[in-house]
Amino acid sequence: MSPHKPPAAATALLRFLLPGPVFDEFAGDLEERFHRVAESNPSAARRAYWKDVLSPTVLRFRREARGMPLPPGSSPRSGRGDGFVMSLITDLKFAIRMLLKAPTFTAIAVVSLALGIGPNTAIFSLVNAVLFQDWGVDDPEKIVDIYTLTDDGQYFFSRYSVFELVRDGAGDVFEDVAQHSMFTGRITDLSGDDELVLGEMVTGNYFTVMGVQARLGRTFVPEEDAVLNTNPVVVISDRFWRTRHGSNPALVGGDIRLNGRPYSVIGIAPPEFRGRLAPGIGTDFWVPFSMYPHLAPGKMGQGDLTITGRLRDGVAPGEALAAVTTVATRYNAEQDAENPDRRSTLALIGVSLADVRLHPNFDQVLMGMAALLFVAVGLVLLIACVNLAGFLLSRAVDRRKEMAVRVAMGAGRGAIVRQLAVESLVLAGMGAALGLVLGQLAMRALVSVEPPVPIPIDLDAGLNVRLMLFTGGIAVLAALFFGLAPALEATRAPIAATLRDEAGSSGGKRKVGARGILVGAQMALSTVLIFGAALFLRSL
Amino acid sequence: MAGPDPSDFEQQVLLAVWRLGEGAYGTTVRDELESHTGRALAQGAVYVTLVRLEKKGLLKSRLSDPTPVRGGKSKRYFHITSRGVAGLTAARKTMDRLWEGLSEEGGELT
Repeated sequence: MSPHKPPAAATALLRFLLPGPVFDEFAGDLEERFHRVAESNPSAARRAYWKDVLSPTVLRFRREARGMPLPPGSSPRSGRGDGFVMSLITDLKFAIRMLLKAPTFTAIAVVSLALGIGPNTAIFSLVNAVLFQDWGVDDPEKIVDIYTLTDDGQYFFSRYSVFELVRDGAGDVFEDVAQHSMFTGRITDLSGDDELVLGEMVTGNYFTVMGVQARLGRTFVPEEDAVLNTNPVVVISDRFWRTRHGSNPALVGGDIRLNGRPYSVIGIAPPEFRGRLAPGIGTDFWVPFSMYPHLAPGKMGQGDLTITGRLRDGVAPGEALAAVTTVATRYNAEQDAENPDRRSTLALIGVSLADVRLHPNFDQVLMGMAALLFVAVGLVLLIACVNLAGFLLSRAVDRRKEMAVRVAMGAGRGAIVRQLAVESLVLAGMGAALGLVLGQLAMRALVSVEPPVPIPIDLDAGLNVRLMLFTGGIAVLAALFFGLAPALEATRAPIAATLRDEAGSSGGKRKVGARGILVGAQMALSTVLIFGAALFLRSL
Repeated sequence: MAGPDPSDFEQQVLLAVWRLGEGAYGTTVRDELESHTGRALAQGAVYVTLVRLEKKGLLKSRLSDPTPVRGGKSKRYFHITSRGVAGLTAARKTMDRLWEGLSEEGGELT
C-alpha cells in the first residue's frame, strides 16, 4: 500500500452521496485503485480519484443500489443520509420555483447582493494577487533573502561586496547564493522602435537558486557570468514573449537589441515565474550580471542588489539567520582591526521567501491597508445584506399563510426554516456568481489602467480556487445573515389565526419592529461608510 | 431466459465476471474491462451495471469480511448465474444469426 492517502474532501463528498453500506464497497474499491496508481504517480492517482467521485455515474449507482443486500452487521441508512439528500433536492427545486415565481424580487435581490459581493471579490483578487502571490519558484520556504540592515532597522539592498561576503562565508548553510537587481533597458524591435523595459541583472546561478527552468530553450550557465562583457545573452519572460513576439518559438536562438547591442535569446522563462522584483510587477528579461559594463556601468558600486540563497537540505531558516549574522560580525571585527575609527558597521538579516509578501519593510503596512479595504467592502456587503433582510422580511409576512398551511399539514418548524435557508442560499449563490463576474470586470479594468510610469503590471488576478472558495464563503455567510431572521419570523405566526386572516395586528407590530431595526442598521452602516470614505479621500 | 438480451456493455461486464471467476469484484472487473477494451471506465458505470445485472438475476453477489488493506471496508464479490450464462449465449446466438451470410470486410459472403 502506498503511503499516500486519497483526497479527504473527495471521500467526504462520496460519503455524502452514497448511503453507508454501499459507500464502504465503492470507496474501498476506489481506495484500492488509488494506492496502486499512487505508487508510481500520486498526483495522477488523486486526479483519477476525484474524477471517479465527481462522475455522474455515482448518482446513478446510488439510485440503482437501493435494495441491495447489506453487509453483515450494518443497518440501512435510508432514514438518515438518503432522506436528507432527497429532501435537500426537493427543497432546492422548490426554492428555484419560488424564486422564478417572483422574478422582480429575485432580480433585485440578486443584483443588490452582487453589488455587495462584487467589491469583496475584486479586493480579494487584488490582495491575493499582490500579497499572496506564488513566486513561481521551487520550494519557496528554502529560499532566503538577505538584506543589509540600516541603522534605523530598515531592510535594505546590499552592495556587491556584501554579496561576495555572504557567498563565500555562509556556504555551510546555503547550497548556493545568487544576487539580482533591477534595471531598465531599451529594447529595439524590428521596426526600429525603442521600448523601455524592466529587467533583472542576475548572477549565472540565479535560476538554479530559484529552482526555475526555462519553458523553452535554457537558462544561464555560471560560465556566462564569469567574464565581464563577453556574453550578451538574455532570457525573456513568458509575458514579453507572448505579448511582443506572439509566442514565436523561433525567437530562441535569435537576437534582440538591448541598449543598442544584439543579445542572443537563449530561453523563455516559465509563465508562473515573473521574476523577483515585486508581486504584480513582471520582469521582462534577465541578463547576466557580467554584462553590467554595457548595460549599467555604475552597477558594481551601487547598493541595490538583493542577495538570495537556497538553504541546504535540513537547514532551518533560523540557522541561516545565525550564519549571515556571523558573516557580518566577522567582517566588522576585521574592519575594526584595520580601521578602529570607522563609523559604520555591517548588519545583515535573512528572511525566508515564504514569509515575504512584497518587501519586509512594507509588508505590515500593506497588510493593514488590505484589512482596511476589507472592512470597507465588508460594510458594503453588510448594507446589501441588511437591505435584503428587509425585503425578505416583508416577503415572509406575505408568505405567512403559505407557511401556516404547510405547518397545518404537518411540516415541522425545522423543515420550514431549512426550506427558507435553501432559498436564501440559492439567492446568495446567484448573487455570488454575478458578483464574481462584476468583481472580475472591475479587476480587469483596474489592471488595464496604464500606470504613469512604464511598469509592466503582471497581476495574476484571474479566477482561481482561492477566489472561488472566498466568494462561496462570503455567499454562505451572507445567506445566513440575511436569511435567518426572516426564516424565523415566517414560522412564528400562530397557525389558526393566520389561516383565518386574523394575524394582521400582532404580526404587523413585530414586522414594523424588525424592519425598523434593519432600516436603522442600514442607516448607521451607510453613515459609517460615507464618513470612512470621506476620511480616506482626505488622507490621499 | 426470459427478458431481452443483455446490452453490449452488460455482456462485457458479464464476460469479465465470468473470466475472473472467484476474484470478481468492482476493481478487478473494471481492470479486466479496461485491459480488454482499451477504454477508461468510470467506477460508477461498472457498479451501476453490476447492480443492474444482479437485479436481473444474471449475477449474484456476496460480501466479504472487512479487509484492513481497504481501511476495514468489505468487498462485494460477484459470480455469474446460470441465467447470466444463458443470457450471454442467447445474445451471442442473436449476433451470430445477424452475421450469417456477411463478411467482416463488408458485403455478403459468396
